[in-house]
Amino acid sequence: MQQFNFPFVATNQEETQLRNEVRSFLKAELDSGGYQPSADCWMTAASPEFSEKLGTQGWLGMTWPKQYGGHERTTLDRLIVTEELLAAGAPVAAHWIADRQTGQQIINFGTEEQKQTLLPKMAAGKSFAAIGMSEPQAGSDLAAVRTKADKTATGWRLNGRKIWSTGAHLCDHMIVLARTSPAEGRNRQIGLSQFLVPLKTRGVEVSGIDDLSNHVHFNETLFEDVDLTEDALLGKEGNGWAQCMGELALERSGPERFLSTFILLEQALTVLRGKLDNQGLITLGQLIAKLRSLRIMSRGIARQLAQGIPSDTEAAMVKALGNAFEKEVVTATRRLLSTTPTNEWPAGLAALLDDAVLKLPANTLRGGTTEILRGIIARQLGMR
Amino acid sequence: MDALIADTAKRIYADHADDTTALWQALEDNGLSRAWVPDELGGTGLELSDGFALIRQSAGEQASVPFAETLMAGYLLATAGAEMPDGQITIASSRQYSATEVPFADRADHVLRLQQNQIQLFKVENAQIISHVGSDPVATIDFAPLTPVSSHKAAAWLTPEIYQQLGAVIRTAQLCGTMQYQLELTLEHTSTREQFGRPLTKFQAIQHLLAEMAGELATSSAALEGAIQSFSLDAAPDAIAVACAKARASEAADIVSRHAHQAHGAIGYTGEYSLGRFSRRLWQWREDFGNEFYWGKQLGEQFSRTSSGGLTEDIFGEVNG
Repeated sequence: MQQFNFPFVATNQEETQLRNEVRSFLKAELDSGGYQPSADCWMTAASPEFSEKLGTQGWLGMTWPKQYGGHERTTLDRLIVTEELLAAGAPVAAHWIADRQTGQQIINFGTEEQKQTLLPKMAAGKSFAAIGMSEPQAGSDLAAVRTKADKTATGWRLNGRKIWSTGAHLCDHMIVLARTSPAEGRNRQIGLSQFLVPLKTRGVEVSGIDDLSNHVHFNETLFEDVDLTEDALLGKEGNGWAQCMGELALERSGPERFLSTFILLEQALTVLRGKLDNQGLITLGQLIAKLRSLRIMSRGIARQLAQGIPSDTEAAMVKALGNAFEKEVVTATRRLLSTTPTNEWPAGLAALLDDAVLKLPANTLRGGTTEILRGIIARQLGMR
Repeated sequence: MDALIADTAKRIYADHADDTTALWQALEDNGLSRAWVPDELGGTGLELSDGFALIRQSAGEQASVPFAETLMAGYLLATAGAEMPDGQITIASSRQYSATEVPFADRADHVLRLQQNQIQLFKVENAQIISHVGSDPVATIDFAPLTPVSSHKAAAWLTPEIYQQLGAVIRTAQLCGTMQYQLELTLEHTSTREQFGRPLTKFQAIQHLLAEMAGELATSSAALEGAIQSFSLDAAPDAIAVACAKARASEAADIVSRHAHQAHGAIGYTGEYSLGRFSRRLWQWREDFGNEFYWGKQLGEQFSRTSSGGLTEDIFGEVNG
């Protein structure tokens, strides 16, 4: 049977020091009113100003080469910074996708010019990026994308629409998955390519979509006869599907897949300490056991990705388990708080709980539904 | 683990599948039952992690022998600098740590218990097997009228709590080995069993059951690794890592066995087919040395104490300043 690998990565002294720096920074920001903690902060709490501050601290593009504005730190260092930012509910949505996956795709597949012009701005927190995978008719069935790019004398012409592109209204670029040649029979993964598309271009129209809490963070992006230069093609023509899967490993394995609601538990505990009965202690303790196990897995994947070991299925596992955990945290917090009068709750807790409830439906959908993830695991088990 | 050791153990279990006496003799002859006894005390002196890997592997074998218990006894005796007698040694391992329910007490050569900082070995005659959720034999023992055949002063750090933690991690390793066996068996069954004209593996509902089982196994294994890494031969382990491992694997055992039975259908509920025996192991071992709720409560108490840095500090590590 296929074994799934999550090597154990022990903590060390430098790690502690880095944590210390991030925590001090966050405390100072919080105390000076630099941000309000929120649930699901990496998806819905965007603050370009805050992102720029992180860039100044050297906490964006941490693993990228120095010649492109990066800091050549380890993936584990990046994990520590992201864990702390998420745990604090800091407004990190603006840069999140560029820092997590778009920058790395450009490093892997971009031209020298793209690396030199785009990466330093992304690492400085001054330029952001969006994901261009899903379409109105292609959600879980991603290979059904209809957006297409045709060759022209000067490059490519792009037509189609992308949807659920989080933060696109703040972004300069989107990596768009488009069809560049027909599928071969039933194999629709053939003939797809990735394009690095500047969004402030003629023919691109970004329009916001209200989520169920009437908050705009995702968008529909329309591409109408958008003329792209030759070098907008990212990587190899026809290699888009494979590149996309590599990008998804980065997208699925991080701590944001299990820490989206952590801030709620943290804040609720301030009023619950010393008041929990046996059942409450058990509920809390079982959450802790899950969280710590997920962290061990996530660190293992970070190590493997740094070593170039493919970890797609492991990432799918962390996301599936992590998303279930995030939902459990909200239910558990409601249970734990249910016997404490609301006038004893700390300021902001009720709003945070409501906010978490309203954001929760999305976490098992975005970046691959739980059902898609289970399919990936089943395939690795040899079932399909 | 050293592949050679793993292969040796696998071969021994395969060669003596029907004869536990011969099996035990072979485990002993190859030094595996003394995995955690250092060289100078006549043992094999394997790494702790190798011993845990052997225990995990043995839990996926059909044969029912007190291998894990004997390894734990060897570890405990070694911490007292005492030599380990030949044969099977079992340990008190009942739920909530009341030292009266003892697995394999009817057949083991010795029973070990930790009592008031003494590691005591007993010879037990006429142990009474009780009806039990597990498939391994369990007897209740009244130690009061018994005199130990030997008694050794335990290291000062070896408290009853640490005895329990060691047992909990050993049971976690066994839970993981058994869950892996159930996943493999269920995969095999659903690949060959056809209904509605196709193998069960082709049904999405079945795929999702197995995917969830694989996830539960993987996350339990990760927690186990965290606990194992905190162990050594001469100091207390990380109590939180241990609690997380036993809590997580005990909870996973419920999900894995439930899905395994669901995917198998009625055949899995028979006494003849092996799935049920392995489920009964899971249901026993998840209780031994504290179940997921027991350890959950320990963790809950630990993490609801007032700390200046809040939950972030407690979870992600304490930071000075």
